[in-house]
Amino acid sequence: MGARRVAVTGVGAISALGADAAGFWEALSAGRSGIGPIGCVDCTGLRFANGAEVRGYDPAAHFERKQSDMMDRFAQLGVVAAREAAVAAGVEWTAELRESAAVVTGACVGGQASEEQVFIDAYQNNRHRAHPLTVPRVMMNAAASQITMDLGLMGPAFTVSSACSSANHAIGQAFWMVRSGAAEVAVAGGSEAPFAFGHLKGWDAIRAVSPDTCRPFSRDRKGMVLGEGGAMLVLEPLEAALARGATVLAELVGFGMSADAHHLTSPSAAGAARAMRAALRDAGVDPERVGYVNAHGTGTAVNDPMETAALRAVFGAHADRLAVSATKSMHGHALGAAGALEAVATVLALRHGILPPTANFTEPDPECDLDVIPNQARPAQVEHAISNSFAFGGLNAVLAFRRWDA
Amino acid sequence: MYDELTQRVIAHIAQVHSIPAETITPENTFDELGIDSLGAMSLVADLEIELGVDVPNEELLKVKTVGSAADSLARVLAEAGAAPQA
Repeated sequence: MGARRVAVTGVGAISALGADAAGFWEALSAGRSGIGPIGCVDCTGLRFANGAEVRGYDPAAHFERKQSDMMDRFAQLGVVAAREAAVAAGVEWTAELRESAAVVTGACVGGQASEEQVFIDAYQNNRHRAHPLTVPRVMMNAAASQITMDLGLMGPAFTVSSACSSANHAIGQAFWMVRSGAAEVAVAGGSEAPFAFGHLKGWDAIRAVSPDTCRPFSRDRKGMVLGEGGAMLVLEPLEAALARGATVLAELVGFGMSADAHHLTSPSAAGAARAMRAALRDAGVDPERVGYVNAHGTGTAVNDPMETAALRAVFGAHADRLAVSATKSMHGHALGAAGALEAVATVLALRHGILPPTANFTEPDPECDLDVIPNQARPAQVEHAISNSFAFGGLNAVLAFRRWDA
Repeated sequence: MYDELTQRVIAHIAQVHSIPAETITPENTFDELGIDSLGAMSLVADLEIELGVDVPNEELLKVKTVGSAADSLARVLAEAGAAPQA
């Protein structure tokens, strides 16, 4: 099977950094964090009160009431991002293309607010009937299904759920389908809206969430900060993109996966390294040609030194020449959407020749002795970049991108 | 003028489906209004919650028009011995 090259021709993002990809990039390149007090949930009784929320989101600005009624917030954020990416790509949707268009989304926790509402109604308000839309709102594949209906895409469509790696796994599957010819175009990414009190209690209990902000790779880091959002990429064969005169934002060149087979919550550097090596092997790219890493970089005590060790294992001496940043310091950890937000950040970094920083950085940690681009974005034309995602449960997924020079 | 429950059903349809209320009549089928079975079920569920009643499945299956939705709600309200809440 002749493998095709795969272009990213459109991106969309709605996040704590703004309502679209332009706002997202503007904040990233300014090093501005979207972390702040959580407004949609009363956090009394939690050990944290900050998050990276999509502020000022109004469903009515995007959907008719009968459409938004069908969707939890997480699915709405996915559709909003998919629409933006599709418009940006400027794909001409012929009937034939629609039938071979894939939609692959990542989601980790699904329709939390909708699920919480039915539990409150059942357990607290003693209602013996739930709303009939509860299940279609909650289901993990809701965003994928809604995107197919909204954009009229009729090829392979499904949702991947692998905790914090969901979106990278989703984009990777879509990438391989476009590369192999199983799909002629794909909309892929992830969306998440985890801000529901009951769910936050679970995060509170696991004691990985920072009481203030997210400071990846800093010695005084205190944990991750939850985020929400949606981000999608349009992937298509490079040849087809060039033939129709599309703007190629970057080339998606490799995807690698691994399982730690180690521990439910404590990650393994060996597993992370295997996923990075697999992505580079898939891309046919030597480690020395990578200039930027969008790190998983959660800001937890455990992740950041583990990721540093994994990067050193994969890149050897070249690790000291790598620029590495954790954009979760700005858009938060959006779980099943995280990889998609970071893929968009990586694509735009290659496109603009600007590497987004690790925000909120205060103090170097000898255990995280990498060039983490502290606080200030850096102009740099790098040839290749990888974007890491590692999940609870030890499921790792890494994407490799190449800069496109028209 | 229609009875209070019928007005309530019409107002709800108008709001959710962006249809001018004055164009909706009790004789309209949901089909005519472009509302599918899931939409009709949701409408009844919203009103069940508002009114604090429970429309049985067999009753719900008979609901095909705006008027029949109001009638079903009226029947269960009467059985519950309650007047519609303001």
